[in-house]
Amino acid sequence: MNFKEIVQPSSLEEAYEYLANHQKAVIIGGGVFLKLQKREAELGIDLSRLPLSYLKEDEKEHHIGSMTTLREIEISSILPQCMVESVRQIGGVGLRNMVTIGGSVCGKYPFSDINTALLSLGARLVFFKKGEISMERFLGENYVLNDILTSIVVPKVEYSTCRYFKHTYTDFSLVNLSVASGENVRIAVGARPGRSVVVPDINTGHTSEELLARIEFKDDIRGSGAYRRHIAEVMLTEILEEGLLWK
Amino acid sequence: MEIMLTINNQKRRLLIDPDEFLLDTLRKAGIKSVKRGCDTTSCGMCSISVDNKLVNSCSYYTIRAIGKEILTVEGIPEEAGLIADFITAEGAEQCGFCSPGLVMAIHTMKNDLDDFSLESIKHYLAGNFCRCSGYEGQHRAILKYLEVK
Ligand SMILES: Cc1cc2nc3c(=O)[nH]c(=O)nc-3n(C[C@H](O)[C@H](O)[C@H](O)COP(=O)(O)OP(=O)(O)OC[C@H]3O[C@@H](n4cnc5c(N)ncnc54)[C@H](O)[C@@H]3O)c2cc1C
Repeated sequence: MNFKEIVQPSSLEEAYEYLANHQKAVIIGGGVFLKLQKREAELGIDLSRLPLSYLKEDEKEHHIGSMTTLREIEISSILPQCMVESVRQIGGVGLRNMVTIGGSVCGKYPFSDINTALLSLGARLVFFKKGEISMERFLGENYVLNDILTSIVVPKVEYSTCRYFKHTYTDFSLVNLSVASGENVRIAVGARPGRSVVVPDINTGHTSEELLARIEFKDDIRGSGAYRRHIAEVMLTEILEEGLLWK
Repeated sequence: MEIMLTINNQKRRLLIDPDEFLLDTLRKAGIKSVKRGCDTTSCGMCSISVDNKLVNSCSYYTIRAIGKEILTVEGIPEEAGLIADFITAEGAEQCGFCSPGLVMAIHTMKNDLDDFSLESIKHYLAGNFCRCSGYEGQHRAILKYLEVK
């Protein structure tokens, strides 16, 4: 993406003002995925001068600023395991030092590893104007943005883990899966190759085949839907056999 | 637009486009160690350090670097020379195109890691590709270098 002009607002109000008053304004998070898109934009709104890069926690939840990089998530010692694991093979360290969690969420990338982890955790998104919306609803709907994601709220859980299958280290995932158990138990699957979804109506008696029966997997250039389903089943079986999900 | 950058401890006044990336700015400023490989943040050829963090300069907006410390191989000649000695001693170097990026990744890695096991080194350097000589030689060289540094 090429920008005629890039502004670096020093407050969220100012950033939102630019967004509201320019039809062709684009928010820049890490800017790394935007760079790959062949488009022209009048105005880029660079969020990097705002205090949106942080990891905070209270008793029940983590609060992650939208400009927090995936590298900061990778080296965090407090975030849920599935989040930390999910980012470890997203490009190299240089890429992870630049790409943001906010850009990852707002891009709604179907191949996303981190979004599958966030879904399994029951994360909530906090937008500057529109307030809170669940990650599940945000990914499921064609929610028109025109707002600034300020933070992501992640409930603390007792146990979580994720799995992904890549042809080579740091490649895009062929399929990924994340589970978390706290107040609820949630299983999410992504790179199907469609966007990440939560597995519905789960219970302790189900095998991994039964759990994933209603999830849609499709063919694309990387692999067939049947292959993806099989890998997802194997990954989930491995997790179920560890015996930590349903305690 | 005109901006000031700190490149290898020197203040430089430079003319840039608003959406320019550091790779282009640095090369225009005569810093030719910084190489364009894939131009999509995948290969690591353009790796540099900004405020002690490894980044891919092909996708790092120059305006974001204002007020920060930009470091390239030209700014660490002794360290780069020493690393080069170890790499050439293993016969690992062929065309050398990836070397400046790899050297910068090794530079930031020394600060970022506390455990220098082969596994953690490989994980840290996974974003820096070499396509003409493989990896075993580089890994041997890096392990030896880390012992003496
Ligand atoms: C080479 C490469 C390999 C990758 N591999 C993987 C992988 O294996 N797995 C994986 O999960 N991901 C992968 N990714 C994606 C990466 O993890 C990020 O999700 C992606 O780059 C977007 O993050 P960004 O910070 O660059 O966002 P940007 O490019 O800045 O923005 C992305 C979109 O979100 C909007 N946006 C950004 N921030 C906000 C905000 N705060 N509020 C509102 N809108 C906002 C932007 O306008 C834009 O539309 C890869 C990316 C690259 C470039």
